[in-house]
Amino acid sequence: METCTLVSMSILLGVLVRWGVSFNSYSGAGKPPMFGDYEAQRHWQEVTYNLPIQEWYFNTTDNDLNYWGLDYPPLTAFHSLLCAHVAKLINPEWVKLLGSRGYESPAHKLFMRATVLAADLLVYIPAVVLYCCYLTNGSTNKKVGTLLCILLYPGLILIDYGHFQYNGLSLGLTLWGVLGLGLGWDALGSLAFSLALNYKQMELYHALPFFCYLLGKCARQGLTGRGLFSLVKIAVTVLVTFALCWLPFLSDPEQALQVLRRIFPVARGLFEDKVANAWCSLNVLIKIRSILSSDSQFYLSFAVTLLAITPSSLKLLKTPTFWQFKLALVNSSLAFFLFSYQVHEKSILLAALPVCLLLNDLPLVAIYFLQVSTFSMLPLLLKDGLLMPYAVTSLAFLVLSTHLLSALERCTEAQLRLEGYRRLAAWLPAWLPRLDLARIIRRKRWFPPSTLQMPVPGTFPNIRPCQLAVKHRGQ
Amino acid sequence: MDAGLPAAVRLVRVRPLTGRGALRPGNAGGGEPELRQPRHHSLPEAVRRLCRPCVHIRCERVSLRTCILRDQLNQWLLLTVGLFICAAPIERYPIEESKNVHGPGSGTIVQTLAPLPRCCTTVREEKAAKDLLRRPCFVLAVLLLWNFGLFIVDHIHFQYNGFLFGFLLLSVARHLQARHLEGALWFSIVLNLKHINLYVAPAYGIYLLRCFCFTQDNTDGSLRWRSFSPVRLVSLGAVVLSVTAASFGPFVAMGQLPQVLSRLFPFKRGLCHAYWAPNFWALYNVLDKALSMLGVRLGLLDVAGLPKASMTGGLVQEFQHAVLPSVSPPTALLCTLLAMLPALWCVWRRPCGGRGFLRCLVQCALASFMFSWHVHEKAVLLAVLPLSILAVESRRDAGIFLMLATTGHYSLFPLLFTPAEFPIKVLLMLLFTIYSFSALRNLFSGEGSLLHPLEALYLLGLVAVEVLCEVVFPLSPWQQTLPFVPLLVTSVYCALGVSYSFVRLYVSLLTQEVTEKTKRL
Repeated sequence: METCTLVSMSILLGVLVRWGVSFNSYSGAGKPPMFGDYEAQRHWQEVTYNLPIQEWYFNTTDNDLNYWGLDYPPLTAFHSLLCAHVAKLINPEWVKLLGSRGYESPAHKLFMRATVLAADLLVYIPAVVLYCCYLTNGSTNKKVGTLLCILLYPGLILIDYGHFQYNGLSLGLTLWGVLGLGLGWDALGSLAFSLALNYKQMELYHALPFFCYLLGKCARQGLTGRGLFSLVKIAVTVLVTFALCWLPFLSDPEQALQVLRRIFPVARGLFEDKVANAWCSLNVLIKIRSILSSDSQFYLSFAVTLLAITPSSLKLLKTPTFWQFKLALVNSSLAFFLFSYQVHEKSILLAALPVCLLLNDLPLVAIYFLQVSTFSMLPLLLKDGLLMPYAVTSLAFLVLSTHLLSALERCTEAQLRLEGYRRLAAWLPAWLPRLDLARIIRRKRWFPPSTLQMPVPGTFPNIRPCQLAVKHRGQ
Repeated sequence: MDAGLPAAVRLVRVRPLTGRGALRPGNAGGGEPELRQPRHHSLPEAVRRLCRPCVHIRCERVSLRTCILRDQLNQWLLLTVGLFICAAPIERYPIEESKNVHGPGSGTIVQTLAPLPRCCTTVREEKAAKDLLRRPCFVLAVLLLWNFGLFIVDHIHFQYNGFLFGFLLLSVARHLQARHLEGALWFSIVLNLKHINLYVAPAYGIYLLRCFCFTQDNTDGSLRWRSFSPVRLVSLGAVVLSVTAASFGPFVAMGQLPQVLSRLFPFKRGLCHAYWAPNFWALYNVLDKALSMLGVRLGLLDVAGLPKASMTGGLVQEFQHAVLPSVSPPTALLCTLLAMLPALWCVWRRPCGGRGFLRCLVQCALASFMFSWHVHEKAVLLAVLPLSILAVESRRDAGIFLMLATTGHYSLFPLLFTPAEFPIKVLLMLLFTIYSFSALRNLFSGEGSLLHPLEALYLLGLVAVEVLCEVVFPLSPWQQTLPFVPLLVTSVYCALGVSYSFVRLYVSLLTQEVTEKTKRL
């Protein structure tokens, strides 16, 4: 079959699955008084449409920051404003100031889902298609297989089209950044990544690899000649992008500071809720949150995160190849997820995107991680009533990716036996479990039914991201 | 196909000239692989002893190939199941009840999947392609499983057609494998499950009478009247009657048969369904409307004297035509039978094996769709699904399939009318259409294009109709005054395509008949 037929069918299938999932419930559906992320997005449309820019991030009578105050950078606010204008055309009730709190209706849900789909169609999906066509090795069938698998990654679909967020936009812009860098268009790549950073501050998880890769590349070209020119070009692009995004807030320093305070809430503690990272898992044995003060927790997580990302960043500086860049992205985002401050379970998506880029090269590990990352969000998905879409999309992704990417044929027996972990476990106490993939999958299969009966802390899924972090650092 | 096998094994494929499993002149195209050991009772003992190990090898190789194919198919089927269920949770119902939607949907899927391996293995392959995507049996599996019409009618509109078509396709597969009694049993079951299958009952009746009750043909392929087997007729009758007795028995015992029949055949519902199936009567109605408007304009007709009923008003009722003669149920039945007659006559004269039966079945289904009383748009699936089997084997049938399937599927769009379902139906339609065009074009690459440019233009016109009906019209001022226009335009446009496919199928059937005749002369 021709490439364009296969590509178009993959895109149609990806969009179909997304729209199919969107029929399900969203975060906070029918749960007053706070509702959930869906209501937060709607509220931001209301705030950005009705209030002047100077009041968006401040606590006023019309803008109660305790009720889903804006805590993303300005580009999210501008996107909400755009959606609000469209909403106003269809039904002004949806964005009525103070009067539209908790507004829920089938028509409104359709509109909100449509905005997510529109963002994906414009940003994320084209980036994935171009990445698979131009930056993936292998035959046409392999490329299309990779495309389909990335588009069908369940985690992103369930969070964006189920729980309700716009991760596709920020991850899509990051992917455009990766694309630009991969094709040698550094300035455009930097522009795209700067936009991603201005959309969601969590993209800082990916910032260091971008920085090290570009710096290393410029250094390679000679910091006195062409390299310097490239460096200046990139720096100017980034600064101009930031300036344009923050322009309305630069007139008054207090405005800019308030925005920063909102997007980096350091007062909130090491972690919230249950998240599959190191601190939450460690907290089960050692109650860090009660032992250490808030500041100590912050410095500890900062130090450990820095320690975790330094090796890959230095290596990237020394040898700025695209492959090294992709690995560094995985390492950096996973290190931040495991050791950073105030990590949410949804942040695993930031690690999942670079792993998707490795699907073609390390299929077994990548597929396994992507399955685990979706599984780690299961408590959140259960809260939103998304068990059925979770089960179906995970199963479909597993079957399809294993078959299309020939994961089991392209791995060694050593990989299946988790040789890396075993070598590590040989140095550790004997009571640590001797795991292999079969045992893990068997245990994982029993897990979802048990979570339905009793609240189980999400600590178990944590072991797998740890293993994979170890594996990737070994690359 | 079996060129790699040694000569001794290839001997096994020759069937004896007499006795059970005999090679019949009508079955000239019967290259269907036997999945079980064929019975060679009339062969000499020595040859039988020689062939036995070879038969085993052949059967093993065939079944191994089938197993490999089935294994690959299974992976795709599993994915398909997953993606089916993914699209199933549509919130038509209140939030509390939505959890109940999933159960029935999954049952439909399971039943649809059952006959797939049978149907796929009966497909003839001229040369086995290495790539799974290019194999006719794989293409057929996807065309059947991912049939757009079946998908949306079953999983969204909500019915159990997949389950029923499973039985129907199983029955067809059995006939293609020359296991006629079993095929008859499955058909009786499906007929007692949904009486719409009466549309194809004449094809079954004539074919079974011709090929099962008359055991032999003359050398020129004509019927040998002397070979009538009363035993076979009685066994066939027993199968059909026992199933019917099990189905209707309790109601006959309770004396409720007339009521049951009146519920099964509600002739008071009018010539056309509320959404106007794209058949001959839709064109008839539009012509009548156009003529009446013309008559009024020219002053030949009195406006007050015209019937006021709105034909697409959504009400199930009878109405009269203004200019053209009104149609009654017996008239519709007569037209249907007349439309089926040439196909039934062809299968009576020269059955041409299972493929001839299948062609007749498709023709009967389409004839019934075109001329029957109160036809629902969903009935087009009864012609489209069996035609898929023919489409993967012949270029001409593939072209007709593309026309009929695309038009028939588009005519189902009005069934999903909520805004939330709009992306689903468009995406699914595009997926199926792109796949069917691409896969069939690949199957018959090098044999010319499947569609005439005018046909392609007509199909592209469907896009314009969709944009007009779902985007332009709702925003126009006529939305309030003429709400039936989108339905009318959809039905009439699709009726043209369906009628054209009907005529082309007949032309193909009759020209094939003529070609066979000239070959024999």
